[in-house]
Amino acid sequence: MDNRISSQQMAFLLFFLLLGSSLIYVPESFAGRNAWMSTILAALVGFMILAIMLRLQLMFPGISVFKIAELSLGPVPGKILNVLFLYVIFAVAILSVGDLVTMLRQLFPYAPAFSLRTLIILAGAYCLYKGVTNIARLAEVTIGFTLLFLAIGFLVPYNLVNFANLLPVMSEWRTMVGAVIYGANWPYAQITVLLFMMPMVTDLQKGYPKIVNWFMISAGILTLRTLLVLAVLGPEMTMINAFPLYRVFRLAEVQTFQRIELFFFSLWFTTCFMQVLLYYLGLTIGLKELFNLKDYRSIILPAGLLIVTVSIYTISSDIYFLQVLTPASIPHDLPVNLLYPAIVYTAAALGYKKVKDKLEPSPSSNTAEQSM
Amino acid sequence: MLFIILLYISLYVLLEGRELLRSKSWREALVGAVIIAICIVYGVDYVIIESRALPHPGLLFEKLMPLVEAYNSFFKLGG
Repeated sequence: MDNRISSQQMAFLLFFLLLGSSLIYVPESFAGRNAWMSTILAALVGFMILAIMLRLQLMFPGISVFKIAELSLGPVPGKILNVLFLYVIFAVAILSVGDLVTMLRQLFPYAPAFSLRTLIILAGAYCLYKGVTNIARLAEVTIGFTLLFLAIGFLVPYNLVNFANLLPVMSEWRTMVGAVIYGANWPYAQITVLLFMMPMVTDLQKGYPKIVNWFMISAGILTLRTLLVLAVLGPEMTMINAFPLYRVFRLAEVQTFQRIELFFFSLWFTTCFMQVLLYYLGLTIGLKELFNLKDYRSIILPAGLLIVTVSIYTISSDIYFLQVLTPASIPHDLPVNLLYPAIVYTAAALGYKKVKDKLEPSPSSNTAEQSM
Repeated sequence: MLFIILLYISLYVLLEGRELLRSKSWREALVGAVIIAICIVYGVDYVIIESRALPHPGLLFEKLMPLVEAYNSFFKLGG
């Protein structure tokens, strides 16, 4: 199983992870007409997390974050933090599957959630069996039509745009500031799952600017999405709709065509599925690192079954998912996603020499297998 | 739910069973078996016992909801 990827591929994976399910949901909608500013401010939080992740991996190229944590913090505290981080990855994996299933049931209301979850995870397991390199190639292949659909998607409802819905600017600064945390948690803080894939990047030293560039492109697209939704629906409708972008496309009219929103189904499904896939992969790699297994292949199916089983057990209804699990994910996930990389980075920076001495002699950049 | 678990176990045995035995990867087999055992327990509780008394992430989310409501109230966030 080939597990080496380039910086460009990692950048595309980051792009899909950021767009993920938040593309259609608009997490910052609570901010009303200033939600687009909340999106921008939330992107700054994400940028800080990305900077820490890149800096950490550049300090110890090819070394897994779990190993860095245990060497810099000590075996016991490091293990405890690693378990906590992996639990949050698992929880977000369940939420990601829930997002995709809830979205699919809008289009296919009679499709049983049990079956949808099973099929999604089995499809993900197939991709995982093909290896990380092929998953990265999948991202490379689909980036083209994703960007095309995004461009068309932003143009189609243009005749419905009413910029007056965005005015006055900064009138509700309190809600704008409050909504930043919604955007920071989802999707920006969720990029921490890529910590598991960072050691596989073969040219991170030279190629990390590509990752930063695509982060900014993603943030720009998410900001445009928020602006479009607010301009078309207005702040109140944006807030009360569970899937504001879907609602925008339902209003769009193109000649005599109906159900235009289904045309963009492939876009939403692709970004959501990639997010689920990356979290499934992260969980599998995390379990492999935690239990010091030789390879993650053998636990792909058990990990997938765990996601399916616990998600069925936990998510009793779509209402419970949207009204309880989604908002409560902020205090549940955000502190760990913010603090885990920061703590590991700080400890590794302070004990850099000690950690370096404990590691084997510095490998070349092409030995990403070291951490696998 | 139990059918789903049986499906995954069958696939796991078919795809990984022989390789795990051949390479004597007992640790990998043990981890996989433990995870599957946990899933079976959850499956049995969900389908047969129907108690939903086992710990799951939703319980912690529910306990954190007052914090979310207080936050939303302070920042005057709707929804």
